[in-house]
Amino acid sequence: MNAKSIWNIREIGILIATIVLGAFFTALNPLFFSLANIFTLLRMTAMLGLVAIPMALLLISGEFDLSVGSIYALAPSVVCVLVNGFGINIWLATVIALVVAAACGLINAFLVTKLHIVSFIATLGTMYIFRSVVLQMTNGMPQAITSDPIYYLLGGDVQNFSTTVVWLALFTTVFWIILENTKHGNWSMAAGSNVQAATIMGINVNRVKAINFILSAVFAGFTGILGLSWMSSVSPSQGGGLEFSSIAAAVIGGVSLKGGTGSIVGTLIGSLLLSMIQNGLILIGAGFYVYQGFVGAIVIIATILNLRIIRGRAYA
Amino acid sequence: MPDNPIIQMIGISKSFGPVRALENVNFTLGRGEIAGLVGDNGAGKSTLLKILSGVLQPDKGEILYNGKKVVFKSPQDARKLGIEAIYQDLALCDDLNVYRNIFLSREIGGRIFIDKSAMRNETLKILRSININIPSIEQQVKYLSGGQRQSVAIARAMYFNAQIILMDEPTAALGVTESKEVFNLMLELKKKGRSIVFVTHNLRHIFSVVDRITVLYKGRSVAESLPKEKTSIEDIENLIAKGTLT
Repeated sequence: MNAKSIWNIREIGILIATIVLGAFFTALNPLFFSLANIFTLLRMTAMLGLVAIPMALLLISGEFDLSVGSIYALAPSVVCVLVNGFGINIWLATVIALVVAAACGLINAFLVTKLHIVSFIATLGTMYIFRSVVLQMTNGMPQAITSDPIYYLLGGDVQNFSTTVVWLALFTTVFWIILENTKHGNWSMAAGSNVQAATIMGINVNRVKAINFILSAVFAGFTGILGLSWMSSVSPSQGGGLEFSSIAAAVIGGVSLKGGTGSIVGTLIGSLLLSMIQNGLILIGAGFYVYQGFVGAIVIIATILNLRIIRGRAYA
Repeated sequence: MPDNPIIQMIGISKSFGPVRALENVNFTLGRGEIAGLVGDNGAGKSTLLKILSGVLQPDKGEILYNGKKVVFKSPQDARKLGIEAIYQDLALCDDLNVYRNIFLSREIGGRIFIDKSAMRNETLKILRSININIPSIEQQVKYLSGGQRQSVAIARAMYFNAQIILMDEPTAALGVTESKEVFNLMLELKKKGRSIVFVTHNLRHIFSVVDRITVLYKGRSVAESLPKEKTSIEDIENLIAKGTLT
């Protein structure tokens, strides 16, 4: 691979930034690059990436989903309530919870594609509604399930290695294939790029967006359930802010908020970068409170760099 | 009237709420001809084109294709008969690359997957066959020049074997050289037996390529299929501005 072909890799900017940041944190605290911390980082990346990657596909098709954080709390809460309150088998409860998450996505899709409410507003509304359902269902109290060794494998650790990383690898590949090599991926890009043109060419834009809303919601719910499997408990307030960190991971990874363009691998690296910042700042003693400021700065810098790289490449 | 019409639109009317966009309009396109459709802003040119391409449905009137009545409920219906439209806004997706745009909604591949390598090869073939030169088919179309973008839209129509190509202001955003490229392409298509409807504001452009001219004035057709040789720019200007020759 020569220098020019490396430059042509779409995610090169964010990849370099991640490596530099990793080196920076390791220089300040060598523990950052220890095996134990790498495992921690991978889990953090997986929990963010599994929400951010479907979000990236939705953003590429031109829509937002601000309700993912609430669905991330709703699905595991549904599992707990069904298991503890109704004595339902945990696996069946998990399937039902995923159906509930899919229904949340369908509601978002209905509001946006049928009632023509801007997705930012529609999902801002459902973000509060779904969170309220969680709080009512749990009386605002954390819920727990009895630990089950097989259920634990869904999102727990094996020899300190989180199984969530396997899910992340699997679904990064699946979503990469969807975006790059399927009609749905092509239509998602077209829908986000020029709705009118996509419609005139005969693409059912509403259907494409609805599928992406449902995927976004199901994966938010699924990731919440992975957390439940690991911790055996769920907090009704968990996932607050996840909507913004998942959007930030996608944007840092090169997804355009205007839709039409973006990268699944970039979003994966964006998730890793955000997790590294969160983890690294604590390890170097900067504290968690500077994290949000750091993320804000990175989002802005990454967007500027991405634009410059893309333009530079286009006019080269 | 052309001797061998491929399309006849007869008595077409269309309203949008209280606004009458078209009233009893007739339009004919001959086989292997370039028909110019002119008129002032709001004269109804784009509406007529959208009806012919299936984007809009007429309130009244009928469309004959090779003498047989047809009804277009969607752009797909029109496309099945080989009618492809190239709209003013190009109907290209800026963020998609050249080959993804050419095959948009008709991707090569199975029910789910697309065959990118076949799409690339076919794109190169079609661009070559109509002498279109684009630096890279991997390029997002937003980074192409106006003429190149227009060529991509035309190549798309050509690839899907369009017999009738509807072009809405294809030179509106182009410079002199780029416009000439598009005219050459239109003449090339005509040579290959394709029929073209060319909508434009620019009368010099019309006279350089078309065979016949139809003029719309406030939603009515005030001149139908005038042979280019039997009219002049001044006559057409009068028809556009006043709806009459004087």
